[in-house]
Amino acid sequence: MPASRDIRPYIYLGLDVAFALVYAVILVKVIPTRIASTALQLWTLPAFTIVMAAGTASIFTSRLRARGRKVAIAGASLMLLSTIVLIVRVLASAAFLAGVYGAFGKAAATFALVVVALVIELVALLPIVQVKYLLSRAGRRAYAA
Amino acid sequence: MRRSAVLALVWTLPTAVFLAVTFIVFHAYRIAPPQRLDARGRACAMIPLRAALDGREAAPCELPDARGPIGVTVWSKGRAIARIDGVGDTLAAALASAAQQLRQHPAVRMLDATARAAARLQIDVIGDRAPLGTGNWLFARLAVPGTTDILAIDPGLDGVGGELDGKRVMMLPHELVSYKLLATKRPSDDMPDFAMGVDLPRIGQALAARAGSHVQPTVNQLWRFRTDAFVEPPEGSADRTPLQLVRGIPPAPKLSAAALRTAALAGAHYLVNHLGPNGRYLYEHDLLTGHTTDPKSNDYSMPRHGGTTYFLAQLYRITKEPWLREPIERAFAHLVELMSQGHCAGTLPDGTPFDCVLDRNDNVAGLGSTALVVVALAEYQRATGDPRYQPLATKLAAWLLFMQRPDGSFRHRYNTRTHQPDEHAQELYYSGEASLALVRMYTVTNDRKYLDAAEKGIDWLVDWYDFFLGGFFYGEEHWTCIAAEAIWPDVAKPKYDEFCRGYGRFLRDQQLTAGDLDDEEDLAGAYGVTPFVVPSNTPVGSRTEAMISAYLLGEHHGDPDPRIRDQIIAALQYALGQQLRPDGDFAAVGDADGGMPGSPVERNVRIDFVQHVCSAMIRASEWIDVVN
Repeated sequence: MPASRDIRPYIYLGLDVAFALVYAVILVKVIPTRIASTALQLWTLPAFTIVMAAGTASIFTSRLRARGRKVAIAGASLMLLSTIVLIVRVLASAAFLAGVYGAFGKAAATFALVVVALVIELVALLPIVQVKYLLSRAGRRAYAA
Repeated sequence: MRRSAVLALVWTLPTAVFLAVTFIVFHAYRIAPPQRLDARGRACAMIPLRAALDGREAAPCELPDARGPIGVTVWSKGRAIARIDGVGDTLAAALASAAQQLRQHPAVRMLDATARAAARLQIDVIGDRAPLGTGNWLFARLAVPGTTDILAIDPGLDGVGGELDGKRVMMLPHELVSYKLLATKRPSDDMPDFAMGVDLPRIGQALAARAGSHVQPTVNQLWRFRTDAFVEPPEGSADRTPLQLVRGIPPAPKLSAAALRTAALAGAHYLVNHLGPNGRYLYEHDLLTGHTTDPKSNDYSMPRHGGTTYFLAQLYRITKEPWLREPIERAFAHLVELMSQGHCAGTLPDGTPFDCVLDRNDNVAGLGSTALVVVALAEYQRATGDPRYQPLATKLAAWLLFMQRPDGSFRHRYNTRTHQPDEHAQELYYSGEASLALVRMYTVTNDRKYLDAAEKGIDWLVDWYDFFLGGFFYGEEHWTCIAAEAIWPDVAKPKYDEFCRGYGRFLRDQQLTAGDLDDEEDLAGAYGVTPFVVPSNTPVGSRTEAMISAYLLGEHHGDPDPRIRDQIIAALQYALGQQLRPDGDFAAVGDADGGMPGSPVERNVRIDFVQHVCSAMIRASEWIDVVN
């Protein structure tokens, strides 16, 4: 697809902004936390999504495109790293409980797996797909100066 | 090649990290179940301590090759009058240390010979230990909030120890229970009875006090440990082998009809012993202090009075034990007295006199209270053949019929000032209780209107689940199944059988089974959601009451469900172990034998805990030997 007709940067930009807003609203309204380490980790999600959006938005300025693409890749990579930390937190907690109580139980194990699956689906999927695009030939072409 | 390597790394590295984290964390906090001493080892270990308690020389006995230290508790009349830590790397050294301290302990020296003979010694051989979750800075921040503090220890199995000012101090698992440090947080205002979560700061304070330290320990100075606990049998027992304890509870009697009947009668003895001269129950018994609810207190539950008296009447109907009759009549007389103070009585629009159960300080009557009282009054008539309460039951049943809608559903609340039912309020249990009450009224009066109303009530309850997710989840439907079986054979609808099988399946998914959870085998048979919340004992009783009806319903329809039978057997085996008996009452102050504590780690008995569990026991005793 010629770079000028590739609409994917605009779709990703829309998704990034929408996801960042949804994350922020959820963190404020649904799962507010006063625990600093947890709040810090959770707020990385909208923050890194905004970084992805900012990089992706460079599509509007040919002068900034090359740098913007790198910013978007960095934002998405950080987002994936944050996702991995989130999953590590869930697994570490589950392992701790299994250690203390001797077993985790079917219900709790199912719940933990559902949480991990949701984290992957709601947090990890967008940066994975976006990085894949940005590293592809089409992505490079779209962000060529 | 480089691309392949990167791809492999992307796919495998996160998984490797996840597996490594899980493995490391699990093994860092895992304590394997302790090695347990055999009967001879337990008996030998007890010899030097018993000799020290009695003030004589110990007979020689070859001790097993086990490690120290140990914790020793001396129980006298339900109270821990002495707690000693026996130090030493071997069991022999730890026992010698404990025996020496025991001989000099002031509380022990004050006991007379009779009290020493009746006192019971408990030994906790301290096993492996592991850190507390909050003790590691990184992990405490990494874990999901609440995990490492609220769920930090396994209640009743874990003790907590620490090194404070160079001195090792320990709080044994039973001490954490008795200091009420295990269930200190109430996560929901909607469930005021539900509490969980360990109080680590208070444990730290208690340990500091024990060590004589003024400085509160940091969490990384503390650790968890498991113990192999055992206690002397009660004085006069023919078998003097110390009893193994799990969560402070000795082995349960083997399940049989006779054991269930004995246990149900023991429960009735508890209730009769906790019935005041005025016919009012001593509502709660705190096993830690022996304190019972003031019988003159205004804070009383009429439905629970009705439900408990229903159980006594049911037991009398089945066993015909003569000692039950007078207390039952005393309790019913008090119930009638309480009702007369409620000022609910009136006349329905068609001129029918009615009454309902209402607390004298209240203006809103609940359907369930009146229904349970009708069930109790009808049970009295079934048990004794005495129709003295039938006029009262008829007036109460008139109100139940008034509260029923044409479609079979019930209104649950009634304002006695405006004389208006609340069309919106819905409570758990009430519709099932009302349906059962109407079935029982039909049983004692043979009046068809009660049967028709009960059938409509049960139909509505069962048909409510007729939607695409119905059958996957259920509310608290145990009264529905009791009513559905009680109405047989006058109404013999297959859909009632199908419904109760489904409810049984739903409950089975919540029942802990042997082999499921390594450290929680003692909870097999109880209903719980995860290993992290110690299950309450009352649902074991109330759900088993329902499952007995579900099983009998299947039998009536010619196809009893063996899975429900096994579910009942597992639950009752668990319940038998939980009941206070002479061999397990060493930590109960006051006359509490036959009582049913709230849970393995909740040291209070309420009348309805006993009612539900013992009602299930006596009903099952009628057929369990035949099918087991």
